[in-house]
Amino acid sequence: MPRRKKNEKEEEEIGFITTLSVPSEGSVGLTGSWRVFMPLLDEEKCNKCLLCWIYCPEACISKDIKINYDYCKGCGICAEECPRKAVTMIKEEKDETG
Amino acid sequence: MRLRDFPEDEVFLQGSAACQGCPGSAAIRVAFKALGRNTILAVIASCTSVFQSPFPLSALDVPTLNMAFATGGAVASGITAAADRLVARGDFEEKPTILAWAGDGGTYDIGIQALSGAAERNTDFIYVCYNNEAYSNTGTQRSGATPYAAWTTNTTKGKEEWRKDIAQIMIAHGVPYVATASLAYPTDMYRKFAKAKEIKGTRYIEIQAPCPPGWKFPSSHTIKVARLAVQSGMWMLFEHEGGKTTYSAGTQRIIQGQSKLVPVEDYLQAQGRFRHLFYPEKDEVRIAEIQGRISHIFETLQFTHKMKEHIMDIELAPPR
Repeated sequence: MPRRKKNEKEEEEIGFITTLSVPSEGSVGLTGSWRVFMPLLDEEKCNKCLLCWIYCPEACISKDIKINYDYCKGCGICAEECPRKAVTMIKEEKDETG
Repeated sequence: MRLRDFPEDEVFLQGSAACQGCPGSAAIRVAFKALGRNTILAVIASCTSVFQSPFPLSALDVPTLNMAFATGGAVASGITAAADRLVARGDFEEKPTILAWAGDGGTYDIGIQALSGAAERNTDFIYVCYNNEAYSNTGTQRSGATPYAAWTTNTTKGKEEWRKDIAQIMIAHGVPYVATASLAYPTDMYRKFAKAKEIKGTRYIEIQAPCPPGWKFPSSHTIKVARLAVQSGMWMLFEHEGGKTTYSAGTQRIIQGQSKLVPVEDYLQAQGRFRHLFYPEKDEVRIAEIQGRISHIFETLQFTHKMKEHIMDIELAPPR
């Protein structure tokens, strides 16, 4: 609902309202809460081929193969594509609040 | 270019609104690794408009403009003109790459006249169509890119028409560079984007984007389906430059006889949108029709390749 200006002071408080968006991580919150299955990396099996890094649609796997569980949505592409089966998907235990 | 040489810098920030296993965000990551940060992005209405997240935050860390469906070529032309002026005036040290990013609806159907106009003027920009073969953003309606016999919400028994070949339409415009890419071959995609960056004029790159909710397969199979599409011949990887089409990665291997064409049934069976071809009973006629068309194209290409090897360097027209 558009706000009606009352006086100059209020105008100062509101300032400029633009339609510019600001780039930010987690722009829709911690998307890790969408996850049902969670990827687990077996570092002994991993030979750092970087396939999971480039295939991850969410950019959650860093180039040194660390999974960011805050934002990982649990799509399972890394487990499916890993040639050495170093990533496995396990059912995540969550508390009642999710 | 090997995977370990790809830059680490991420333009696409994690925690976006994309679905699990989204092919669009996977494609945008590889594209920006090749193009770098000196890029202005014009997003034509598509899933990308949505998954870059609601106001006031954005998951894309480059200057981005969100535009209406029919404006792809027009907006990119405007940005290019402005960028040229700013470079001439000395405000920009280096001209940024202009990237128009559209889905298949914004390219095949609604956006084609603006794109055709920009291509005819040979405006200096890269146009990317990430093709998920339906209007997946609004709930999977049929588009000009939907393949024959595929289910969508308004072709419930399978589409009756064949998809149009927009890459050939772009080649007919005489633009300097046309290429197709697949998510399953990131090094090939990276090479094509890096090459396109160096060329001046309108460049068109099309990426096949298997969409888990639209095509009805598990989110973990995005890359697997993309790979099957290339291996079965349903998607062809090529680049067209200077009047010559060269095939690359998986498609090249099939043409040169290094690997065999996977039966198209394997590709169709991996997706729920072709389920009516297998259940309740197998529709042999339509499967044979699709297989016949692909086999014909590849037999022609393999024959051309052998002719070239053995007789002389002749160029046959690429099949539609």
